[in-house]
Amino acid sequence: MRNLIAAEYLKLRTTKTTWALLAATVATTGLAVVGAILVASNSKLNLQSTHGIREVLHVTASGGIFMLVLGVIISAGEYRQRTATETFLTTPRRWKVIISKLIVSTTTGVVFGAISAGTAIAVASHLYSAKGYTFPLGSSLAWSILGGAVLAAALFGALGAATGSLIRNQVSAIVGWMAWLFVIENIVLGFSATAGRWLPSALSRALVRDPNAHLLPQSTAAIVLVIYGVVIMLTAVLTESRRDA
Amino acid sequence: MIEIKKVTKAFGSARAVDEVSFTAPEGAVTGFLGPNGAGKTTTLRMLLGLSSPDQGEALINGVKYADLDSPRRAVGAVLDSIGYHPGRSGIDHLRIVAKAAGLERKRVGEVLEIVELTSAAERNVGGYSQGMRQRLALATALLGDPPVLVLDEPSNGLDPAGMAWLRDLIAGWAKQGRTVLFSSHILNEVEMVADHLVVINHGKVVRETSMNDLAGPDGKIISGRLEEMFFELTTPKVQVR
Ligand SMILES: Nc1ncnc2c1ncn2[C@@H]1O[C@H](COP(=O)(O)OP(=O)(O)OP(=O)(O)O)[C@@H](O)[C@H]1O
Ligand SMILES: [Mg+2]
Repeated sequence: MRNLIAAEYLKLRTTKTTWALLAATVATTGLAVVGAILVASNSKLNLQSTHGIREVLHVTASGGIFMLVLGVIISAGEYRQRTATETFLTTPRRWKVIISKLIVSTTTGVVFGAISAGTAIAVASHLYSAKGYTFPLGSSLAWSILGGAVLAAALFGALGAATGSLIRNQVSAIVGWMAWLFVIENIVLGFSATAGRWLPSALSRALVRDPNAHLLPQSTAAIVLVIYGVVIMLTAVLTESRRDA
Repeated sequence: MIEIKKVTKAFGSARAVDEVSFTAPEGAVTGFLGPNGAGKTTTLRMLLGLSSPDQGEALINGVKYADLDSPRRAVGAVLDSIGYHPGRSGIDHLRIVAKAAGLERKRVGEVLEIVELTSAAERNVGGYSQGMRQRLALATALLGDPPVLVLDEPSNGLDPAGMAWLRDLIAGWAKQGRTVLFSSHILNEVEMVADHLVVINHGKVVRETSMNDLAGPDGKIISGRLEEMFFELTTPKVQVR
């Protein structure tokens, strides 16, 4: 398994898509933080208050979607590029491939999330001091939000890799996720806010303590997202054992 | 040694492979022939664990592919369905396989030399010609220095010099005692390199024989004999009224 995981990292490093998605994550996070600070100061919000910090920092997870896409590409991309044949010739036990990809996608999500958090801190400290505030780098609130953003990216990476293994078709998996996160979840939310809280997009917002909605606690959100990932992964493993490569 | 034992595979109601049995012995080249759609690729994919037979089993030195300890060290395979990430270099592709299989890194340079691809190794595979891709597939198959080689139309896309080079390579492997099973539509090529012959048609083995059976009294293969036999075995009989 260790060799397999190392090989998956090598695959990631040798594709430009990885770096493009990382750049998109950093740019999105940076712009989102700038936007959040502008909106907050326009509405005369105290940037150092609890509400102000949550308003500014919860957008650190806005790049999470790119990690979801990368996760899908890590798994389903093998079918798109037809590299799956060589992969399964090396590792005929396909569950090992699925698990390795899940591990690699999740840990890459940690890296993407940490870089997003770094970007948010850099941009926010800069703008805070420009506006005469000091960014509360020592506050536990800030760190719980930033930690939540890292966790959100990791779990989105896991969800992406698991669905990519299950669906195999990269475009369908990505389009399906977009439709789910941006359309279907909003419709569910419209019908029942209570039910909507248990869905992936709302869960990732709960992880970064988005102040604009009534969401689940951070820890519950993390556990539910992990359960989703595990269920999809197990379905993928069971399906894979019964189909041809 | 490769043993195919009563292997059957149906897609829907059509049996693509129907109780196929044959053996590819060690130290010999086995040619696997049959018209388009006869079931050659389907048989080889089952042998390589890429799809599972409905019935029967395919063994490599007595073991199913999925049960091999280190598949890359046991079997080298070239298949049509192998693709490459266009934005990745040939050498990176080989490094990835070597890493996943736990093979020595220096083997990558060696196989690139064998398939004469060293000068193009750093280029992206997206810019490779079909023949270069085929060479890369062969290089990948050779990474683990395997005693068994399974090649589905390996000369696809190779130029005449490339084909001659591949024939020498294949014959050399058999001389070293390896098991080589290869499918081909180029009967000339089969005549020149195969020791053993398996012909399938509509999913069934219609002939398994030694190439010696196609030889004249002087022991040389009679040119054209293989083609004659192939058509006899695979052309539907025309009804005479
Ligand atoms: N995945 C699949 N789904 C449905 N039918 C399939 C599939 N793979 C192969 N077949 C069918 O099985 C039969 C055997 O195909 P196969 O590819 O094994 O033939 P082949 O001998 O390799 O032919 P060729 O010389 O053209 O490569 C064909 O009728 C083909 O249409
Ligand atoms: Mg074929």
